[in-house]
Parts: sequence; C-alpha cells; structure tokens
Amino acid sequence: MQPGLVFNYITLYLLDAVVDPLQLLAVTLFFVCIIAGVVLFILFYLIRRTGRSMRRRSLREQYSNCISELAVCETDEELQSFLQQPDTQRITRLLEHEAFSRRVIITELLKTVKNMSGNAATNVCWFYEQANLQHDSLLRLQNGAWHVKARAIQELSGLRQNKYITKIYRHTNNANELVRNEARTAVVKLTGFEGLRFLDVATYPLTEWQQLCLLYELSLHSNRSFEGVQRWLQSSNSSVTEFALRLVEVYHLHACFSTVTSCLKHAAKPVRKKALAALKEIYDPAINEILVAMFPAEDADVQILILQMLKEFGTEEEQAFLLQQLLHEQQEIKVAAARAVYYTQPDAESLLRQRVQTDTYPWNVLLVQLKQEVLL
Amino acid sequence: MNWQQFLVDFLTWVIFLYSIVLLLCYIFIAFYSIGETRKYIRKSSFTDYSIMAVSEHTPSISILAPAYNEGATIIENVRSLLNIHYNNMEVIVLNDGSKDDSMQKLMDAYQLVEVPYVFTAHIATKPVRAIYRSSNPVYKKLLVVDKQNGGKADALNVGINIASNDILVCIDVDCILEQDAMQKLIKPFLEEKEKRVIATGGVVRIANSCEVKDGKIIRVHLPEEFIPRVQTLEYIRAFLLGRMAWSRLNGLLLISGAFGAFDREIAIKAGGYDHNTVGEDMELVVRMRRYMEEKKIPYKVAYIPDPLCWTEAPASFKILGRQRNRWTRGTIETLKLHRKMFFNPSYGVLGMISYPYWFFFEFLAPLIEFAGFVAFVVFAVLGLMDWSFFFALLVFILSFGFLYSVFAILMEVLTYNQYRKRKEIFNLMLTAFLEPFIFHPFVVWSAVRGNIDLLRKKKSWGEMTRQGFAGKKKN
Repeated sequence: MQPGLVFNYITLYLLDAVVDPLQLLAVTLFFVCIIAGVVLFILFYLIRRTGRSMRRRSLREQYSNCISELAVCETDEELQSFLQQPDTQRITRLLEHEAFSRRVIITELLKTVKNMSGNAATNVCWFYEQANLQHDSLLRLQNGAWHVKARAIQELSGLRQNKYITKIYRHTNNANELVRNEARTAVVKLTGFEGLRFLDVATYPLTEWQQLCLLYELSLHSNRSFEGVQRWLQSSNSSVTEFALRLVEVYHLHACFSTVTSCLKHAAKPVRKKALAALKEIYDPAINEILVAMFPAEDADVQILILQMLKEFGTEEEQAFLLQQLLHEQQEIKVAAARAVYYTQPDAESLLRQRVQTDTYPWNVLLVQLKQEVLL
Repeated sequence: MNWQQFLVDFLTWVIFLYSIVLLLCYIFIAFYSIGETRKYIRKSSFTDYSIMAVSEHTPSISILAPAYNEGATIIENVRSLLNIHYNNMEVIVLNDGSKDDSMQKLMDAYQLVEVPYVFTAHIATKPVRAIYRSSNPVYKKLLVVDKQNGGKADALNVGINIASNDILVCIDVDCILEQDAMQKLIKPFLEEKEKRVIATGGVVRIANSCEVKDGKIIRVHLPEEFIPRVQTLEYIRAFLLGRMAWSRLNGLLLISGAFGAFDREIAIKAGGYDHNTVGEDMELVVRMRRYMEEKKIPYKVAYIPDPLCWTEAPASFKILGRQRNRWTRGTIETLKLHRKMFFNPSYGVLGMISYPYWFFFEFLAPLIEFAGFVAFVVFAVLGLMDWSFFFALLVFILSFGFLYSVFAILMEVLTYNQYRKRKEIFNLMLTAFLEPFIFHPFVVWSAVRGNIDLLRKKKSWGEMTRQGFAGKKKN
C-alpha cells in the first residue's frame, strides 16, 4: 500500500476549479501539527519506556535474589526469618506503596512458580499472600476490561489461590472468549479433573485450542476422576462431546465404549471423527461391524479414517468389504483399503493380485511401498 | 456547456472523488487496524505456545518448500526446517528441476534413498521424477521430491498432491523463521468453531543488515542501505496497518508466498496454485475464498501481526524493479481471472469491498499517478499550470503520506518494536520523508512497466538475485 503521490498531478490541475489553495494549506498545516504531535509522542514514549524497562530490570534483580532465598526455605521458622530480613522488609515496604512494583513482582512470581514444584513453589505462593498481592489480582478480577480480568484469573490460578475458586468459576461461561478460556483453564489448574464440572453447564463452544490447554493442565494432575465423562459424551454442546471423546482417547476409558459408539451417529462430523479416534484406543471387536455399516453414508475423510481403523483391527470378516473398496472411484480410498487388506488379511498379496491390475499404477508402486512399510 | 467543458468537469469530479475515497480508505485502514492488533497482542500475552510444541493433539502439518537452484544454501535451509519446534509435521522439499547440484547435495547430506510412494494427482502438474526419504531415522520427517521444472506454483501443487496432512504450510526455503512461528501460524486453525479457517498468514520482516547465526536472527537492525530500509517501512505499513484492517473485515486477499498456511482440502477443491500467473500466492487465496463464497460455507482467512518470518529484500533498483513488475502482473492477472466478483453482492465483502479496493487502489493507482505526471509535464510546458495551487496540493499530499508513515512507525513502536535504538526509529522517519522523492516514483514506474509487460504477454518471473545472509555485519 503506497499513499505517496497517489493524489496525482492531473488532479492538481483539475482540482483548481473545486478547491481553494488556502484551504489546502490549512489542512496541510493541520497534518503537520499531527505529525509533530506523533513524533513528540514517539520520542516521549521511547524515553519513558527506556526508564520503565531500566526500573523493571532493577526490580527484577532485587526480586530474583529475594525469591531465590524464599524458594530454599524449608520450615515455618525459616519463612518467618526470611520475612524479618532487611531486604525482604525493604521490598515489602516498596510493594505497599508502588503499584508498578507490585505488577512486576506478580509477573516474576508467576514465572518462577511455573518453573518450580513442591515446597519451593508453595513458598512463592505463600509470599504472594503474605505481601497481600492477591488483593491486586482480586481488584483486577472486578475490572470491566476483558484482558485485565483474564490476567487476574491467570495470576490467581498460577499462584494457587484455591480459596478464590468460586470467584473464578463464575467466569467459566463468561460471554468473552478469553475470560471464559482463562477461567476454565484456571479451575482445572486449581482442582484438576474436578474442575471439569463447568462442562455440565457450558453453553459456549470449547475451541480446539481450549481443549489442548485443558488436556495439558489435566496431564499435570495425578488424581484422576472421570465421573462426568458419560454425561459429557451426551452433551447438547457438541464441542463438550468432542472434548469428552478426547478424554476417552487419552485416558483409555473403556467403560465409555457404548456411549462412544453412539457418538458415531452424531450429526456433527468432528464428533464422529473424534469418536473414531477414541475407539481406536478402547477398541472392542464389536465395533468392526458398526464401522462397515456406517461407511457408505460417510464423507471421504471419515471413510479413510474407518479404513485406517480397519488396517489396525480388521479381520477376515471384513475381507469382502475391504476388497470391494479396492474398486472405489477415489484413489485415496482404494489405497487405504489396499493398505488395510495388506496389513490384516492372510495371503494379502495374492488377494490384491487377484482383484487389481498390479502391473499398472498405482498398484504396481503401492505393492512395493506396502512391502517396504511392513519391513520398516 | 460545450462537450470539452463537460469532459473537464467530469474528469475533475471523478478524480477528485477517487482521491478523496483513497485518502479516506487509508485513514479508515489506519484506525481500523488498531483494534485488531491490540486485541491480538492482549490475547497473545495469555498464550502459552509451548503447549503446542509438545502436544500430540496439535493438527498435523505438511511444510512445502519449493527449491530451484538453491544448491548454495539448500542443506542449511532444510536443516532449519527440520529444526522447527512442532510436534506433528512432515517437511516436503520440492526440487523443481534445479540445474545445479541441489539434488545431489540433498542426497548426500540427508542420506536419501528413492522410495515407492503412491499419491493422488488431485491437481495436474509436471511429472515427478522420484521421491526420496532418508535412510537415517533422525530425518524421518523429511520427504524430497525431484520433479521436472514447472515453476514455483507447479512445485507447490506437487506438494499439495503428495502432502499427507490436513494443513499445508508453504514456505520459501531461504526465509528465516522465528522460534515459535509455526505454533503462531497454526493456532488460528484451532480457535474457530463457527467458521472454517482456510488460510493464515503472518508478518514478513526484512532481514537485511540483521545479524544471523545458525539460521536464526540474533539481533535485529534497521537495514543500512536505503532501498531495503524503505521497504522495511513499506512492510510495516502494509502488514501492521493494511493487512490487519483487512483481516478484521475478513477481506484479506493476499497471504505472502514466503510463509502461509492453507487448508489442504479447500486448496485442492479450489484447484490448487495457478501456474499461469506470476502472482500465484494472491491468486490461490482469492480462489479459495471464491470457492467458499460460492459454496456458502462460513470461513475466515486469519492474519497474525507477529513477525514470524524474515526475508532478504532487494537491495538494488534492478532487482526491486523486477519484483514490483511481477507483483503488478500478478495482481492484474488475479483480478482478471476473478472479474466475475467485481461488485458482485453474492461474494459479500470479497466482491463488494476487497476486489473493488484492489482494482481501484492497487491496480489503477499507479496508472492514474503516471498519467497525472505526464499531464503535469504537458501542462507545465504549455504554461497552463497554476503554480500556487500546485505547491499547495503537493505539500498537502506529501504531508498526508508522511503522516501515514509516521503513524505506521508509531504502531510499530507501540506493538512489536523490532528496532530498539532511538536512532533507528528516527532513521525510519527520515526514510519516510525521502520515500516520495526517491523510492515511490521508481515503484510507480515499475508498476507501469508491469502493465506494459503484461500487454506484451511477458510471463517470466524475473531473476531474483539475493546476497544471502552469510557474513552479515556483527556489531
């Protein structure tokens, strides 16, 4: 995009008739004033930013020493003596009077606790409370701006403020996507699988990104509870069903087999695809018949997923079906069917040679490819 | 009123309105982009991209890297692609019939062996000679395709056919990616539930004068040479203001060919890259959008203001002229191919806003400007010029152009602030001041030549000689 001289020279001559040069000069003067204002603002901003970043760096250095000492405390006595140290007292006084310092230290504590575990992390969270920093986070939680609210949720959950779980939970169905996502991630971070109860009432969709974040947080918790999964599999919110299917897939929830099977009839294609992925992990031979039955009505991408499943679990029962797919009009389906035959059927090579012209493309190449795949 | 008078009045008002609408568009774009950029930066500050680097649930991607006579740098370039932090990916290097030793170098460095590989030719392409995989499991993500020369678009189409994943990432092999570029580029595909994300793109920045080590940008510097520096300013204006505003409108027509991600299924259904145009990157986005509009499927083309990819900009007028000439031809060819959408309400924002904007203000602007310059010379020679008015209008336009650039610099400072030194920011402002006198007339002339070359049915890409990143200055 080039503003440059687009307002071209021909206009120059022709516009003489419609615009007074003095008016133009007045507008130009206005532009020049704005330019001067912007340039001065940039200069002021750069100077201020340099100052702030120097101040931030100096605060960080002070805090990092303090946090290092805090992290190694092992008993209550050590923690109390840490609070009495002159450096800690100086920092505490500073925190009482300066909002900027509080913001910097909260960020530092958050970063630290993310990279720590056990006693060290508990000490950091304890100091956050001792310095009354949670008060700042709670104030921000009341703020109307979504990003301020979301940041507050991240601070409270990152610094393990379980006592504010109710306040955070209220935002799990917030109209703002970012606030909602942070709140959902926060309740799972704080309470693990129990926190997933928001899925019972979730009216807004869970994006794929949100699902990844939740799975990640869950992976950090060892106390597993899958009480709600059956319910979520039947949720009217199809994204909740998708997430429940992911839970089945990741945690191999065999008890959900029949409900997952019923998801194969779900109206939403992403749900059916995720159901197939989940069934791969909780496989039962009874599913093959269902897969073969649903195949004709599906789109090509789901059909390929079905054939990929049959490549893993197909039996001689599916032989006729698989051989029939070798004649499918779409090459990708033919290839997936051939692969399933090759991996699951006895004497597969001669079966393929009987059905297709193995001296022409793609079969001539495919047979060699499959042989190599099996060897690897 | 006689007919001459009528003609002059008519032209006066048409051009007056054209200019007013154009200036208003720039003002709108500048302000409209602010909200989108601010929202993205705030949102991004909550995002832990490392989750994507380690998760098994991220969508699998196929990186398509076409290469033609890249023998000097191909080994390092492929290595940096293989080092990208992303869990589920394959890297497909497409050797487009290179005449140099690229293929042999790849075979030696990555221990490649020819493999049988069945794929469906969804899109017609030049023949594939052979497909190679590495015998070393360390490079199991790598697939190298040796094909007959057919140009970049043809090579990418081969990649689309061969790719086994749902998302395609098309990349120029000589680009330098940021560490988390792939996660940032793919994330928009995970964020939409109501609409299908068909493509995403990110900001391309200029790497001239930057310090590069082991395929990574170590320190960012403003280019020392004037031509790359003014392109830096151009890129800031285009990416930080223009594309963010278009992204907010969901009217983006162009994702840079240097680094963009596409939904493979839609790319195939739309017919893949058109190898008859030199603007294949823009043409594909337009065709994919057109396909979605015609099928009435809700969709989105997402854009990320993060600097994701660094590239070397032309440093001489000769190379720059070829590049701009090609861009002009690409734009016109794309607009011509999709002229059906021009002010066609059934294509929504695409037909009613994006296409007309590109037609009037990207395609026509340099032509009108050039015609104006010719008229100016004629009127000046004939003594018909009102000089007081000329100077009033000239300073008006120069001040507006400078204001727009200064605003873009302000946005850069407030957002990504790649140029840390105050001196560099003020150098950028000085460049903005000089641009209309030195750089802009050349760009207009290149665009005019692009139009002429198109009329003469010139199809060549134009050789793009690069200096390379090696041996850049180290302060």
